[in-house]
Amino acid sequence: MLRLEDCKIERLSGVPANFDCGDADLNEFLLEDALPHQNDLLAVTYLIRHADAVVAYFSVLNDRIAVEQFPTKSQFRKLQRFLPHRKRCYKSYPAVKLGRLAVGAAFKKQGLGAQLLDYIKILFITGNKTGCRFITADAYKNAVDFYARSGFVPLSEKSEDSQTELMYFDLKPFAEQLAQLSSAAR
Amino acid sequence: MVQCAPRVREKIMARPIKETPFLHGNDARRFNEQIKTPTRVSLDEVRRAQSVYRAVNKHSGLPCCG
Repeated sequence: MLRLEDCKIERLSGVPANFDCGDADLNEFLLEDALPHQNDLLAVTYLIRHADAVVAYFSVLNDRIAVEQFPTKSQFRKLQRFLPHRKRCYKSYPAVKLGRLAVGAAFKKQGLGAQLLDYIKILFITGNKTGCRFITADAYKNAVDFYARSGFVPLSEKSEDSQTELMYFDLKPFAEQLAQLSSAAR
Repeated sequence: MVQCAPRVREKIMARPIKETPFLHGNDARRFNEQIKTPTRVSLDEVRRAQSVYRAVNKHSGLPCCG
């Protein structure tokens, strides 16, 4: 049984010779699209390797969650003086989007996907050079439970897409516990 | 949708990465409530994640902070 702890992570630098996770879209993305996306600075892909085999991969890109804010009645009355036409106010939170995540067919059912999500959570708490509050993911319907078990929740009550569901994970509670662990270790 | 370079557009078969929509109405209210009272994460869960993170980075020759 393979554990993520026994694997290496590397930033994509060339197209892997082969990868098969059992899903044509996810295979196609890694073998055809990941490198052009990276060269155009749109998304960065990381490979998880064990010996020479590509065990898994994930692609990440900048994102944001923009949320409508609801002022109190008194705030709204004050705002109306300055805004003749009612406009919606949005608050925007920085996020990272998990564009793709896949585990090779030969390495499934070993808990690697969940460990990979844990890795990504810490990567964007400790290794991020800018602010990042949330991880967002456009999960396949059959992967919604997998993301939910890792603490992801749906962004919308009604999904408009029949194939995927947008989900998010709040990094703040995780970061607070991580800080507690670090301070206890000192 | 995330824009792709024109030279690769014709080759692309994989589904484009969907953009995160603006949240409004009930979705916005629910989201605002959820982030005010987030689900608590256990220390054990974070400890396990930290241990994996450190091991993978060590194997990869990356910094092991976190």
